[in-house]
Amino acid sequence: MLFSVLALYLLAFLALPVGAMVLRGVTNTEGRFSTDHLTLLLANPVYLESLGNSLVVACGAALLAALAALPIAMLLWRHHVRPSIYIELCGFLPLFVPPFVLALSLQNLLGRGGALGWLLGGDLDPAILGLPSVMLVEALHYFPLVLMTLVMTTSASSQQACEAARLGSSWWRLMTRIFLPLGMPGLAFGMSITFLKAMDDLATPLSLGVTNLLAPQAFFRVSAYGSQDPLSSLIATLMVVISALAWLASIRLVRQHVSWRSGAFAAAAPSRRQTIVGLSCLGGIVMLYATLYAGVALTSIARIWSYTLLPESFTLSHYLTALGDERGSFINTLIYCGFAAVVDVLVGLLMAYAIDRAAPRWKTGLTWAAAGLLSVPGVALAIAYLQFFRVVELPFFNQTIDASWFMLPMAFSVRGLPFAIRACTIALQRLPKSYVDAASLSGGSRLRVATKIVLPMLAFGLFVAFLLCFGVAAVDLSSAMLLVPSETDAPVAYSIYLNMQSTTGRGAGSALAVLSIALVTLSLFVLLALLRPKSKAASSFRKFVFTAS
Amino acid sequence: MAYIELNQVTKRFGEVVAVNQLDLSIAQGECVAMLGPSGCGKTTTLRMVAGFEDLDDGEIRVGDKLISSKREKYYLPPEQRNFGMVFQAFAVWPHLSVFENVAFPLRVRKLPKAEIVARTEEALKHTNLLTAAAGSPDDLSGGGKQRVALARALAIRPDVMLLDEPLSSLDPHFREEMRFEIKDLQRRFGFSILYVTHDQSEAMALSDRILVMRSGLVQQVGTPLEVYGSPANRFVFEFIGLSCFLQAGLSPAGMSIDGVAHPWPAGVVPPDELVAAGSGLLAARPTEIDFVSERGVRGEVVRKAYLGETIDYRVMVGQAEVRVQKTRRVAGPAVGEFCGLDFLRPHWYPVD
Repeated sequence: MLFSVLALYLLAFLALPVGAMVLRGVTNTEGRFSTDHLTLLLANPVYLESLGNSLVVACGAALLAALAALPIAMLLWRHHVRPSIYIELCGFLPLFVPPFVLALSLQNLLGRGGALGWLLGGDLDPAILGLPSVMLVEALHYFPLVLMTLVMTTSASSQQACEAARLGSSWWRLMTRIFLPLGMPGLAFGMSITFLKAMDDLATPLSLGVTNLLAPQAFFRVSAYGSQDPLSSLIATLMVVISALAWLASIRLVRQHVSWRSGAFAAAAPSRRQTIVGLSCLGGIVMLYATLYAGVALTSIARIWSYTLLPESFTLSHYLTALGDERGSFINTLIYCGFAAVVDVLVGLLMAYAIDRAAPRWKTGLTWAAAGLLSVPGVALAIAYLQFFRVVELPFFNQTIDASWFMLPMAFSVRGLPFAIRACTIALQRLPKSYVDAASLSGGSRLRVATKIVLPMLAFGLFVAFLLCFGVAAVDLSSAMLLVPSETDAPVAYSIYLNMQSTTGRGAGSALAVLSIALVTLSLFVLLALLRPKSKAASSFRKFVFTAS
Repeated sequence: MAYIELNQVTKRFGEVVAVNQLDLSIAQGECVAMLGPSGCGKTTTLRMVAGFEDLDDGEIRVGDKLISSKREKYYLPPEQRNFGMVFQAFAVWPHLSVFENVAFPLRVRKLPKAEIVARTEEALKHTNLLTAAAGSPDDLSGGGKQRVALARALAIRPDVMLLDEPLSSLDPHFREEMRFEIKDLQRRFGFSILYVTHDQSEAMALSDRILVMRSGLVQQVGTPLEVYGSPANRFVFEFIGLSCFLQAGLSPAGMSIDGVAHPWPAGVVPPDELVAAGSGLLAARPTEIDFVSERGVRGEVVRKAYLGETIDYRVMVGQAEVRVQKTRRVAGPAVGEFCGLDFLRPHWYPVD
């Protein structure tokens, strides 16, 4: 029964909408297979350019982030500096903060009248650069993620490998023969996430005035020609195919097992000098990001700020406005993301259980297929929903689903599913079968065993899954921009975006952004504080990202 | 009289026969250890007795009661079998206190409150956990957690106690201590034990009889002394205790190893069928081989290692290596020296 509901969910909210969207892109009005739309797409230089630009931005962002992360990770590795679990966690903040906030912060800082723009005597607004600035913002945004995944995988065996390999090896040989192979799962994971997110990002290019990318083009086609437009289907299909290929290409590298066991022989603890170098390096990165986000932070408390290094006067009124006028968007976020996260936890638990019970030869494939859901872009899913649910009426509400907010949490839930499945898998792993057997043998009914033993033991893991999915949904602007029926139904991330588009709303928008980032950071840290002991927390967190051996 | 009876019990997982036509009788108050390497079917057998696995053939009875039967399509759910079980992973629920862990099966049975408290405290007392009752199991050591699991199993006053490698996760020190505690509890409460382990010393110390399994098949059932002293086949000989083997060519005149003729060592008399077959496998325990100056199988000492109380010798007889262990008080040959080997309690098996 439960598995039928699971199958129905996957069919109704993933397979059928996406399948129908793909079909719409490759069939003509009579429903026959046709390359007409593809020919039309390829004949239009704007779409061809958008395809190329999207690839350049996604590849470029992943590459830039990797190039920046590699030397720093290598430096930390050679100095035996292993960042604390809190620093590692900070590396994952980019997944819970929309990148367009960074773009707008940089505009506030570098633009005409901005602090650095004024200081350097010119208009350095990143929007002037166009495409490269999108690439740069995406790279800057996801750099901490790439760095930390790389650090996590290399430091897992830094003590054995580095000490052993340093004996007579040049730094280049050490990097290419030891460091890179060790860090490959982390590097590939970080780069593939950067690629997928950059490919799907809609708000950042629009904030920077760049429209010749696939996501904005698909968005404009739907806005201009309606949801049934076959070209938007084709563009969305292209995005799905590119993302899926990128994910498949990275799987081989990401799925390498990472050993989290401590070294077979313990190397000496980092010397004072090594610690200073490592901490300076990490401190420098924190300072850099504090500066990058200073644009948003200062705008959120600035009364007047124009052509001066710092605001002329300060105020908290933007926060009061944000908390007062945007109360609706907070409630909307709670409803959409809460609903999506609950669905995710239920579906994720069922899928994790099904994967756990699957035959060994299916298990790995199913695990990676579930993770492959990461490669369904939000824009593509939103277009698929708009097309598929146009004619489906919502029971009891007397309106079609596409006119209601119902599609938004469902899209969020599909996008959050890979995170939910991973978190639920770890939660299930922490409940060995013998614990349930012991309860069954004690004489408990299935219901009693479930309520008294299984659920309390899974509760924390499910709570983590809920928070993760909530966080991922809260920053999913690509789906939200297409699926929100009206501005009053907008979640916080969309309200930040809308506020930032007007000069009068920048203060409130920045305050909303600061509040959101603070809330996400606080939630993650509280979650970590609840996990005791710390070693357990660290191992759970690391195993969430990489398969352990 | 048999209390637990397994008749022709069989379990298959796809193509693999995990347990093949297993017959076993356990008397009331008897402890039987199932011993064998990983994947031999011992845990599967235990899980079939517990009711966690169906049978593909055969039946299981406890007393007069049928609890599983393929032929009669009868299956008594685990919770109705009144079995206590202790798992390798402790399976102590961390969100419940020690007291609540032990009381859980009693609460499930909806016993009166006073009886729940009395029986829980009794079980905790017998496992020396009364002072830790209010605490969390997470605050206990591995041995403490396993005591909680034992107390929980005891609280229901089980007819049968099923122990699935209960000591494998413990430190060696606790392991030894817990062995005696389990045996002591069994004497006091009189339940039968089916004990799964891959540790032969555990099986020897605890059980009245040992069942040795390999690839789903029973190799031998007997008392620890029988299994150690008279192993039924080469596998049992090799699995229980230290062992060494010499493949020998056999003829009525004597034996040869790697083409070199050796006189019959004292007491070495192979069965007639092996002599008729022309070859056999001489099996011996390293502690049951003596160095002799005359007669015996000749070999060269190639290694000598001090292991504290004993000295471990490696003697090459042709291409075969023979391991000999003597106490350090016995003066043995030096490395490089040739010596004779006398097999005190040799066993003969056919060559595979």
